[in-house]
Amino acid sequence: MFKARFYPSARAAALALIACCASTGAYAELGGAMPAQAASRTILNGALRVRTMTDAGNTTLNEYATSTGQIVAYTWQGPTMPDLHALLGQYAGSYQAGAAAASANGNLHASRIARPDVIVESGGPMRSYVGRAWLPAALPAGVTADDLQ
Amino acid sequence: MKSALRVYALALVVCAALAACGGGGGSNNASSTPSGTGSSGGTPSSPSSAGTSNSNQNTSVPQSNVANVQPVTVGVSPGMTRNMLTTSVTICQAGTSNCATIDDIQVDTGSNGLRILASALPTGFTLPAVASGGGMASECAVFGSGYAWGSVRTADVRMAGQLAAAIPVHLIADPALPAAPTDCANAGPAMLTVASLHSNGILGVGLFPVDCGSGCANAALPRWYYSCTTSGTCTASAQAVAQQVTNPVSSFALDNNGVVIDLPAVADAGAASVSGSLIFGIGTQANNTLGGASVIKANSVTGYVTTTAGGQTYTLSYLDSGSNGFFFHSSQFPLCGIWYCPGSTQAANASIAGSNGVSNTVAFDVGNASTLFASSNNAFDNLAGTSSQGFAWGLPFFYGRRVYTAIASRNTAAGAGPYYAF
Repeated sequence: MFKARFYPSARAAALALIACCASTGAYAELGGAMPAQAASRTILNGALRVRTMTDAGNTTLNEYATSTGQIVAYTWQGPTMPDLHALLGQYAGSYQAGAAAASANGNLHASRIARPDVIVESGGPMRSYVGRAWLPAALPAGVTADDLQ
Repeated sequence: MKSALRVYALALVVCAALAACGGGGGSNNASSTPSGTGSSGGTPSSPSSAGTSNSNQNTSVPQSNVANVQPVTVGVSPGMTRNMLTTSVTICQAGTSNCATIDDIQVDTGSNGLRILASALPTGFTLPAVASGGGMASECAVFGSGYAWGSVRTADVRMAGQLAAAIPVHLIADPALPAAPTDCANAGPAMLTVASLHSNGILGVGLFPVDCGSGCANAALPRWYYSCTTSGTCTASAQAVAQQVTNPVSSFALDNNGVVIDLPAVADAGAASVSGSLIFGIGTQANNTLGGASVIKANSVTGYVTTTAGGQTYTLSYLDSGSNGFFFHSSQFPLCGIWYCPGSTQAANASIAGSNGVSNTVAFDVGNASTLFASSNNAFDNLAGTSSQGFAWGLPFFYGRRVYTAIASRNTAAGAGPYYAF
């Protein structure tokens, strides 16, 4: 479908768009806004909206937002680690600070970094990555991390 | 251009069709004919070095008399990381006897391929780079705990009497490489030193012969393989399976269809050190037959099996010597950070099931992690913590039982891998 539109000037524009979005992430981020027109479904009696995407590494991501569209969580599963830095957005620094201070009792295939503003759980064997990241203070009333699959 | 098309499609906020979980990562057609009918134990074949079959078993698993027992230990590890299963690996310039033996390599059934810190090699010990496009092949190996960036080089790998000849290995923090590209460094914390790796490297002896598979052969996936030019630019690139970092066991001439990890049991309070064996091959010698083990077939793409415990079903489950605890989500136990710390050790039960419909039950304990860490012991069979999804049977599972890990598409008397057996 998109191939028909790739005449040279559109290709240049597309590459510029890619350069822009490759650095900021091709989709939104924690704390950002889920596009209003995105094809999402509601769960938990409308408390959360969720849309499912596949990223450049063939990994499936679920993006969770409140009823007003604020993105509060991501879950992922697939053969490539997602771009965690892009997903965390403004919370990437907090995560990195937490990871740097993490206990020496780490292990290869499971990690949990819990900060007051963001929690990231990441693991799985290589080529079967699974994890989730969420804003604990921003989950709607009645919604817990258990609801994020 | 193919990957650019894909990013452009995403940039237009087109919701892609839901892809099958884990799709695209499989490297093996699980099409090898399962051989061997009847019991998984079978009669032990008389050892021979030729590929003869025992006509009673109707198998074609080549028998071997090559030394196949690799000593493994649990003891003090950098940063006081507990339940670190380690071994020494000999790496040689291919085709020569110019070798180095590197200690404190973590044995990991949750990954595939040999990875060694460049700093752990002797000064002047060089290995040829694997080419990629016009530059050097390099890799961002991503784990739950972070990323290991390094070059892909060719080496002979020797353990026990076995030889994996001229296989791609991962040289972590290779000073010849530029710094990790941004999309690699964004994957999590860096694991480029002994302190952050808690070891000198990782010996991945899991369910697959290479670390990525056909997904990386078919496309330039992010956070996998890169081509680095001498001018210091690294670009994500496809990597043919033959040039991907290789599970050394899969490249042995014999004893190459999987491994058995055999560790003694430990007491509830743990042990200061444990010594056991990493045995190469399944049903290739008298010391690695399946016996009465249940064969739990794993998903041929993801490697997952299913665990049922505490009334919950965990479909993302795996047996992982590279995890230092049982990791699963449960509301039954109080948490101390990532770890469970019940007031007293709790007994639990679970069932592990495969895609072949076979299941086996497991009795396990959940101890108080704070108490365990306060001791000077290093090996614990009851260390457990939380995980977002899935159930990781880490090293505590391996104490006191023989655990078999069969490589995808490799023939065994109980059929082709991937499977676990215990």
